[in-house]
Amino acid sequence: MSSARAELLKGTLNLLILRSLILQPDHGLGIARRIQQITKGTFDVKPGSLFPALHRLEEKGWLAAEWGQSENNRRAKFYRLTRAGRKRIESQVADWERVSAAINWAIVATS
Amino acid sequence: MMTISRLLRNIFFKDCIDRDLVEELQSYLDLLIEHKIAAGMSEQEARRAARLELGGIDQVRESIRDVHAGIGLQQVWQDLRYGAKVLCRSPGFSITAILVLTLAIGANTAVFSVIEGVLLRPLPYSAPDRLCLLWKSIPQRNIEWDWTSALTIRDWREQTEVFEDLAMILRPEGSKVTMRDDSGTEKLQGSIVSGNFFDLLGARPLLGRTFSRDEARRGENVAVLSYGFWQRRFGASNSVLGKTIPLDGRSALIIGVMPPSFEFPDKKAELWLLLTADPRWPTFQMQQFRIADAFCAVGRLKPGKPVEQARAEMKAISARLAQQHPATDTGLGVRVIPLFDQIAGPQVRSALWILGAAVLCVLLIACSNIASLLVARSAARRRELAVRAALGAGRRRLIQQLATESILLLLAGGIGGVVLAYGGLHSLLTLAPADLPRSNGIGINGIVLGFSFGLCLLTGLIFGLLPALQITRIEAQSGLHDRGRSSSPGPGVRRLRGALVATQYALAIVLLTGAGLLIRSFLLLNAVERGFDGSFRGNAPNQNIVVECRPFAQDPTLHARNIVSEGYFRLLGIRLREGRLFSDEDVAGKPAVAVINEKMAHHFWPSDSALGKRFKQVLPGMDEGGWTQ
Repeated sequence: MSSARAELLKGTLNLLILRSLILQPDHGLGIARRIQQITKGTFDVKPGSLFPALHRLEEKGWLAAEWGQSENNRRAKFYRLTRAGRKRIESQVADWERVSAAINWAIVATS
Repeated sequence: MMTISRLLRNIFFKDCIDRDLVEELQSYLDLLIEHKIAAGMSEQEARRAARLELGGIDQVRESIRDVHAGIGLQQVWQDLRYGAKVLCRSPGFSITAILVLTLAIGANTAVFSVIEGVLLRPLPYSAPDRLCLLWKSIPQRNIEWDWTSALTIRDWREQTEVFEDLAMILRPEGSKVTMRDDSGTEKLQGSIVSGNFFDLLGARPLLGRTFSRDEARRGENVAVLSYGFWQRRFGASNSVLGKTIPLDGRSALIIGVMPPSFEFPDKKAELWLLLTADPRWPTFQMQQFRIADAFCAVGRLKPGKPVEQARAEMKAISARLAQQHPATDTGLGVRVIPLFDQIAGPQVRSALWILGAAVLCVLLIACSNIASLLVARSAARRRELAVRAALGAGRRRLIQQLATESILLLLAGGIGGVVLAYGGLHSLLTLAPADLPRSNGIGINGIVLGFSFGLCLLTGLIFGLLPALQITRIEAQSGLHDRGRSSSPGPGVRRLRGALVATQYALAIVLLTGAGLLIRSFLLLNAVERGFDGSFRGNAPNQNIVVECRPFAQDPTLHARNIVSEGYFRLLGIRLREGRLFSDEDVAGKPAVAVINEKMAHHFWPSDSALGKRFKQVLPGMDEGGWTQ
C-alpha cells in the first residue's frame, strides 16, 4: 500500500471514529458497530485496525478513555471525545470534503 | 501532540498499560461473543467466530503498542537489554569484535589527535595566517633559506609596505644562556628577540606581561619564561613574577610566563630575552656585521595582503639593497614563507596524512572483518529472526534490533579505543620524530572525541547496517519456509560474504602500500635538511687578511670568512684538526678568536703550527687582532 493511500484511509477511519462518538462515549465494539451503522454497512472495521486507531487518537489527546460498564453490565473501556477531539472533527471534515471533492472532480473529469 | 506526562506514563507504567490493553481486548472479545450469541450462534460457534474476527490478541497488541508515545525509547531499552544478552551468550565473538574495534578506533583517535594538534589547530597567535618568516636566500648557490643580519632586517622593516611590522629573532645557537645560582649552573635555550616580538605575534602571556616598549628601548634585562621552564624550574609558582634570575652574569627580571602552546621559534625555547639588552647588540648593529648570519625575521602582513605580494616586494627591496650595499648584499634574495608552512612543512603534512589514511584503512579492515563475522553469525540466527518476523516484528524493527547489537559492540569498542588512545598517545609521541612541531598541545580534546564519535557512527553504519539490511531482506524472503535445521546460507549471504572478503583484500593491499609510503616519508621526515647546505661556504665577500709577521697577502681563495656562534661546528658536525673550538669563555672583551681551515693554516704557516698565531682583517672600524687556534 502506498503511504499516501494509507494516510488517506487512516484519516478516514479517524474521522469515522470521531464522528461515531459525537453523541456519547462508547467502547470498542460499540464504536465498530456504530461506524458500520452510520456508513450503511460499507465500513466493517476490524479490531486489528480499530484499536491502533483508537490508541493513536488517545495518544494525540483527541479521545479520552476510562473503564465503565457496558449495557449488559460488562466491564469495558469507554472512549469519549475530548474538547480537542471535538474541535478536530471540523478540520477533519473540511479535509475530507476537500479530498472527496477532488476525487469526485477527477472521476467526472476523466469519465 | 504527545504530552510529556503521557510519554513518561508510557515509559514508566509500561506494564500497567500492557495489562490494560490485554484487558481491553479481552473485554472486546467477550462483548463480541455475547453479541454473536445474541444474534443466534451457539456459544462455541460464537467464541470461534469472535476469535477469528479479532485475529489474535498478540498481533493486535503488537500493533497497538507501536502507536504509543515513547515506544521508540522503550524499544531501544528493550533492544539494548536483549542485545547485551545476545552478546554475552557468544563471548568469543563479542570479545573479538570489541578488541578489533578498540584497536582500530584507538589507533584512529590517537593519530587524529596528532593531526588535529599539528595540522588542523590554528597557531596560537592572533590572525596566524598573516604571519610569515623572512630569511635570506642566496639563489645562485641554491641556498633557499639562511639567517641574515640585524641591519638587513632593519632595512627590510624600513622599506616594506606589505608588512605591518617585522620582529627579529636571533638564531638559537646564539641564544643560549647560562643560569648560575645556588643550585648550580644550567644551560638554557633562550630566544633573543626584538621588543615587538610578542605584540607582533599577538601572543598573550599566561602570567604577567610581555616586553614593554620602554623596556625594549632602554634595553632592560627582562625575561619571559616558557611554560615548560616555569613548571620545571619554578614549580609553576605564581610568585615567580618580579624575581630575578642570574643569566650569563647579569640578572634578568622575570616579567611573564607564556602558555604551553606558545613555542616560538620552536619548542626548545625556554625563555625569551630582549635583543636590545644583549651585550652583543651594539656589535650586531655595526656595518661590518651586515655579513653575519645571525637573525631571521617574523613579519605580520597587512590585512588582505597575500604572501605573493610580500615576495614580490621583498624581491624589489633586496635588489635595492644590493645596489646600496654591493659589497655585502649582491646576489642575495629574501625568502618569505608563511609561518604555518615553516612549522608544518610538506614533509610533516604528507607523513601525517598518510599515517591518518593508514589507520583509516585499518579501521575499514576492522569494519569489514566484523561485518563478515556478523554475517557468518547470522546463519545461526536465521531461525530466531524468522520467528520474530512471524510474530509480527517488522523489518524495521529487526534492523533496529541488529543495529542495536552493533551499537553495543561499538560503544564498548569506542570507549576502549579512546582509553587506548589516551594511554597510547604518549608512546606514539615518543615514537614521533623529536622535532615534530607543536607536539606539546596534542591531547584528547573535544574535537578529537567528536571525531571518534563520528568515526564510531560511520563504523556502525558500515559494519552494522549493511549486514542487517542484507540479512533481514533474506529472512523476509525465506522466512520460516526453511524449517529444517539446515542453515546453509542463501546466495545473498554468500554474495555479501564474498564482497566483504574482497573488500578486506583490497583494503589490506591499500594499507600495505600506504605503510610502505609511510615509512618512506617518515624516513624523509627524519632526514629533513639540517639547516645547512653541503656546499655551504658562507657569503662573505672578499676581505683582506693581514697576518702578523707576514707581508700583506691577497689570495682570493682564502677570503671566505664567516662569523658564527659557538655551536656552529658542533651543529654542522665538522671535526677539528688541532686546537680547540669556540667556547663560553670567548666573549666580548676577551681576545677575539678564530678557527681557520687547513688550507689557510698551510698557506700562511706551512712549516709551523698555526695555533696561537695572530692575524687581522682589514675592515673599516675593526682593528682587533685575533689569535688562531
